Amino acid sequence: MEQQKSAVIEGDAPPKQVALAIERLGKASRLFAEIRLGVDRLLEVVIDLSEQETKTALDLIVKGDSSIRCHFQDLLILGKQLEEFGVLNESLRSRGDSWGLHMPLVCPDGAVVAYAWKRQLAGQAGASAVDRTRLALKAFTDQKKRFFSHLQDESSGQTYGSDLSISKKRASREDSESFGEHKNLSDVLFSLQKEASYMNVFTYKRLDWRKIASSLTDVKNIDSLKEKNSLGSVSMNEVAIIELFVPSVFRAFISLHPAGSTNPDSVAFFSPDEEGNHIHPNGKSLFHVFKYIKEHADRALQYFCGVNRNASLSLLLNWICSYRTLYSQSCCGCGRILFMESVRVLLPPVYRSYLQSSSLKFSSFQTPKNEQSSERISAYHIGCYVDERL
Amino acid sequence: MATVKIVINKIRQSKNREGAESGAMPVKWLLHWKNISNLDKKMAEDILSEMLKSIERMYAVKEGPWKNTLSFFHPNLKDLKKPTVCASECLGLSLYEDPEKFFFVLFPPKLVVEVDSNYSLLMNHLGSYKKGNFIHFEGTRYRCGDFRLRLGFASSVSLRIKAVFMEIEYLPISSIKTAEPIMEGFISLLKLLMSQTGIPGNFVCHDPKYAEFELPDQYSSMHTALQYSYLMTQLI
Repeated sequence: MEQQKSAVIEGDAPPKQVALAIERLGKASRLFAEIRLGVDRLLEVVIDLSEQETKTALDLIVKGDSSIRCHFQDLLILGKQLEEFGVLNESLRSRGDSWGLHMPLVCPDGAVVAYAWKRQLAGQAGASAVDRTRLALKAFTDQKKRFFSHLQDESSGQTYGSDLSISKKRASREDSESFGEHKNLSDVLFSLQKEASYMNVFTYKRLDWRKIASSLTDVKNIDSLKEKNSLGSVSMNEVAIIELFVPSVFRAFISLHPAGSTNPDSVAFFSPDEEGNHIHPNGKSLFHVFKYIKEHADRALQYFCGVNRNASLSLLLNWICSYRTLYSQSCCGCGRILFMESVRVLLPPVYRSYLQSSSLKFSSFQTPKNEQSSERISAYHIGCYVDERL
Repeated sequence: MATVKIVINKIRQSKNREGAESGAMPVKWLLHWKNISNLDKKMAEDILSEMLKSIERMYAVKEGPWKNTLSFFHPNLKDLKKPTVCASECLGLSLYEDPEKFFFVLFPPKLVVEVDSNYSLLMNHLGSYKKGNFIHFEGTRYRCGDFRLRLGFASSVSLRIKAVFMEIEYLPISSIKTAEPIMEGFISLLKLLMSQTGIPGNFVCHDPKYAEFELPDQYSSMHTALQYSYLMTQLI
């Protein structure tokens, strides 16, 4: 039965294969539900043990156990089939004979499935119009939340569109002067380390970070681990995560996609004393301060990618450097450091102007000679922030 | 006496060899409410309820109770034939968050020592230091965004002290220098809120000289112990 199925698969067109893969994933989720139900029933029997005869209870337990084991076997078979497909790993991508569609991959760090293949699937697998619209709408709203979070702040769509294009033109004209040539990753990182002496830069391969994150509190190991990942010790082609550490202030992570390129994919901020498995470029800090900085950073990242794709990493690094004054620079709006925000939390100025950041000269990683000079990027509280695009 | 001193020196040396503690602690500042006259019970309770109202305006949420105890130790000089160098003032502090540890603050020489919590029993048995009066710091913990506040009474029956005090902790930072602007901002906000209640008096903030006691910039329970000893000198 399985061999017959796999023979059919080899000769099928890509959309059919994708449809089969999805059907199997659906079957897997149904199996999970069956297993859960089975376990619940077992628990019920065990809890009611005192009220029933022990013999019938025993029969029920044995039956329940065997059915759950059956489901687990089915799940194992299904898992193997999906693995052969390349659904659960990156084998198809490396094989090069990808189906001409974006693969529905389940990545270790929870990357979002691309929208394009769903559209193809809905179009060619004969889905009804209702299904197609439902799929399209769901995929679009998910992508919008993740990649266009700044659009949610807008009240009037039309004025936003025209102003953004004006500011884009202004920024890109100035940027083309300062970001003349396309810099590669090692240039960017080494110049950053050289000029920003207050900061430590570390680079990691994608899965190496996972190993380190769980042992951050172990002081004896951390120094040797950090030496292994200091700038220059990991080959530039494999660098997928960059860590920027300003002692006592913050720790920021940037994920690059693909590894070794200058395309930042996501950014996150944490306290330097935080430890745990939630510390990675897509994670959220436990502290309110860094949670709100990350939300702002997502918008800034989108802006930098939109304005100048080649220099987006340099712009992002430059902008992150301005956060070294997180606890010392007062807000440009109200002049104070702490402010009770509308979200009912006392916060320092967590917003840094990214429009201003992208129009400053490239070499402003260094601390300005005069701390009050106009070259400093403005800091704002959430409540004091005036959207610069309007 | 000599044995006690040797033991304390050994503990200090081993602490230095191990280096910094593995877990970083958030920075804390200790304040107390200073009034012109001494506080009696009723006044202290009024002040506490007003402080509570003020922090509730900052959306503080109650977390739980807590209690620290500060004890005085006096050296037992009767049995000595010749005078030796010993600490003339010795304060012992037990903290709620670190029940397995006990902290000593010695006045000359300027030293903060962290020991096992059973050590005070040992001292009693050795007889070199006698336990004297003690002050209880008792109150409630609150969480206010990224801040943790401890609000309560400092009371001692024997010394006839009753004071209201507050401990402010800013969780994301463990470096004392970096946290300064944030703490000062919070205290000015607090002073503003309390001035609106009309209660006489003011918050007093201490400036313990951590460097004189050889404590690093990275905050730890030893810094807390030092702050409490400074507070104690203000109260008496």
